[in-house]
Amino acid sequence: MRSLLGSRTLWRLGIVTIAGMVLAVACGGGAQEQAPTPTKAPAAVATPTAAATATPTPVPAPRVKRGGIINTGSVGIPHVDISQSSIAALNQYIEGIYQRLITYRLKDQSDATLVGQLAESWEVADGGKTITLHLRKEAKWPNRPPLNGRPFTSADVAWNIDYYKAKSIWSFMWKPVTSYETPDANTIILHLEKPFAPIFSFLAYKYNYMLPKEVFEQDGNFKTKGIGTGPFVFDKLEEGIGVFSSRNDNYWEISELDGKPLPYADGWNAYETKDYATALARLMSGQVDIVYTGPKAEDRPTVVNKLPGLQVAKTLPQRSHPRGILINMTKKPWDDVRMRRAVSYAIDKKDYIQVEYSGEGEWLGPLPAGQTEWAWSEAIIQQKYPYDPEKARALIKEAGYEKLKVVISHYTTPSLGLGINAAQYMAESLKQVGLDVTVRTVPDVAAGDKMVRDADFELAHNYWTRDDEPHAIFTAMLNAKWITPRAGLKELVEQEGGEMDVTKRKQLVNQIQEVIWEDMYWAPNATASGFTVRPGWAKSPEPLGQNLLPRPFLERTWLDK
Amino acid sequence: MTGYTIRRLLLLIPTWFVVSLIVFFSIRLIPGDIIDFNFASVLYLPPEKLDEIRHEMGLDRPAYLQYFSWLGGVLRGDLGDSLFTGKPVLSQILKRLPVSAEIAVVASGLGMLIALPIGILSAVKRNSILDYLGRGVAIAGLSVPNFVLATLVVLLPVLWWGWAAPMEYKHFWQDPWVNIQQIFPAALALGVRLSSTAMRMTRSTMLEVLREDYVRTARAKGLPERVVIVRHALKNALIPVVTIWGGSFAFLLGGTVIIETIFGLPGVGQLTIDAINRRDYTQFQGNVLFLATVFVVVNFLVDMSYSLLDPRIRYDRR
Repeated sequence: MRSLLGSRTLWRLGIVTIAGMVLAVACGGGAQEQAPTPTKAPAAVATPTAAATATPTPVPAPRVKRGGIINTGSVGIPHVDISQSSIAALNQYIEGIYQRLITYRLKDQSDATLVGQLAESWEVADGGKTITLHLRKEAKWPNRPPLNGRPFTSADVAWNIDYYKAKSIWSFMWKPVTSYETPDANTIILHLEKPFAPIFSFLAYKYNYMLPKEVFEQDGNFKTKGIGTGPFVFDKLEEGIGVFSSRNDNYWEISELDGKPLPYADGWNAYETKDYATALARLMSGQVDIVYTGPKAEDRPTVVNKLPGLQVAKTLPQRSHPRGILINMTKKPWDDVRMRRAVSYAIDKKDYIQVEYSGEGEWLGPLPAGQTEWAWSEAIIQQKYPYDPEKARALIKEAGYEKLKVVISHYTTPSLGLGINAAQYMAESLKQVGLDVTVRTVPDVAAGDKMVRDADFELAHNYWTRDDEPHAIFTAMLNAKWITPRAGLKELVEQEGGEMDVTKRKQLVNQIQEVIWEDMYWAPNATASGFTVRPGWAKSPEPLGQNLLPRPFLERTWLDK
Repeated sequence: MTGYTIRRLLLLIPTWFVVSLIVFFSIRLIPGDIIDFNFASVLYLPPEKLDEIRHEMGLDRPAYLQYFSWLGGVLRGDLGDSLFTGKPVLSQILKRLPVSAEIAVVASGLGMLIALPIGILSAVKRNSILDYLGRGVAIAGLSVPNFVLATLVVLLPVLWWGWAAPMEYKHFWQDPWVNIQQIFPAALALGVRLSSTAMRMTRSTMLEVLREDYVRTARAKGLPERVVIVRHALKNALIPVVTIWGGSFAFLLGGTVIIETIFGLPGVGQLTIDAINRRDYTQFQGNVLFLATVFVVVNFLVDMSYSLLDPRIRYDRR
């Protein structure tokens, strides 16, 4: 009897443990079976473009709620010195800390109008060789040592110009500026050697922040102190955990809703979240207040179901990252334009979008779709890059390369969301037109960038620059080892860079796009539409989807939990 | 015993050197370096500037020189500075080690807590439904990869109860309740595989031991079954299980690489994955060398512990 008692205890222990494990495994299968597989976005999706063009109806101003901490995700940053790093996650964070002289308005996503940030207004004179910037008088540095709330002045801009030119990896942004004058505390005059059209894009460039000179004088870098004129001030970075910031009580922007200084929230914490399942769990459990890269199409209904009132906004693909098949023109047979054109004809973008992005993607031309003011419209792209396998086959036959062995090098990063499916789809498409294709997977983005830079590929599937200025993309194109630009293209790009008249510059940009299309330096494909989501309790005056890029405008978000 | 211990300790030295070689050169086999990672998007940065930065970081020196320079530092206890953050590698490891160690210890404990009763039960009730069920669970535990299980552990609670572990990591001494919520799910996901292996091992060794004469003798003496199993059979059956357990502790530390990334826990594992992605050579080398050292030391200690469990085991030559 006594022995039975011991046995019972063991029995109970065992049964409980086994039942728990079996349940976990069984429920995992169940969840998969029940998961819906929608191909359309849920009804909660807002279309920002439509919202921007709709007839305005008077809506009572929402009552704002101040306080609380905004929680977001992040992939981790090493320090907060943006002047020495191009890490995208760092830039996304720094957007809330530092500010630029001018920036993009982005009332909706196609709005690339330049507006003042620390500069209130500006004038161009001398045929584009002189730019006078009038600084915002109310802009101040935060009440933290060593700045202690002093005003932001033209001396700060002057110091930044010298600093960037001499010490930052971003020196190119200020290279066109040969000298400057500071007639008073709120005015700075920039002198250029020759007119340079992208200068305003450079001033609004995503890394062109005004940094505090006292911090550099004290520390010799900006790695551990993030004290800017932006709405939040950096508090601490805990590697592996996140980055923590609090409200800048000296921030200059006033809320049009309650007449008090922004931001509404007391702080902003960005927690490191590198795994997709964890990001979903944190969103569905209500721990994060905004997610910049929303759930995949197949997961969205589940998330909407868990978080009633969830706002989902479709966003345009990034302004940067032209994607497609990069064709190494320095290797045979890709020096033959017929072969390059065949690659373009062989790919059905509609199917590609369906396969890779569950139908939620955008067609691409020579420039990224996000560069709405410069890029070709989808109608033009459809006409210019048709799917025509017969023509592809004929071109390959004409060039004499049927059954040619081809290697597509594929590389990606989780943030770009390009999967191996896309590369396999490309390979299948090229097989259909008579090529013998294999896919070579390159481990990650660092390896991929090196491969492209060294022209160590035949065909590569992915993006090839990360810039958001057409002139920068064209310049990169001219410098790329894998492209052999046609005669006269360099001069055309130089002309485009010096054209101050926007209409004429657009014509030149268009002309360069035509050359890229004709010579098919790369065969563009498509990119995923972005989805930004925000639970119902996170609110802002603008509908979600507006004012998203390049920064999240967290100062205009309040929490109504 | 002393002679054996010294021999084993001496053997650690070449092992450690081979590990250092593998660690140093393996990361360099992956194309791209920290410069590619950090400055890929700076289109206007001339290649000469990139080379200048490489030179400042010493990355343009021949690999063998870099190796000996690094090794010299390691022998002096200096693992160098992270190429990504600029902070000392060792301090980063020591800062994050408690997290990984906690996950591994809890996973190890959980694993044994699951494995021992089920393993014993399976052996005692051999060929019963419970035995089949236990073996089935063990096979399932071995078959399901850690990352799949981890994903389920992350997602199922939020789907069923709207619960997810708190985002901001807290050490046990800072906030025990938050710490338990963060560590337990990760440890569970990590410990299941260990429990499956240990469960199978416990069952088979228990079956062997239960057939031994001294167990029969104990039963013949009229000892209660519980005493026979726990005091006479289990202690002897545990030797191979302890081998697995000890070895698995180091294995579990390695397993934290994926688990910490999935659960967002700031341990050495996550630091290692980040170091690989960022081509932070020094951090990666330091982390892996550190984990490898833990691995060989733990294995050594486990070997030494056999004699404590079984007095018949003697290492000295007679």
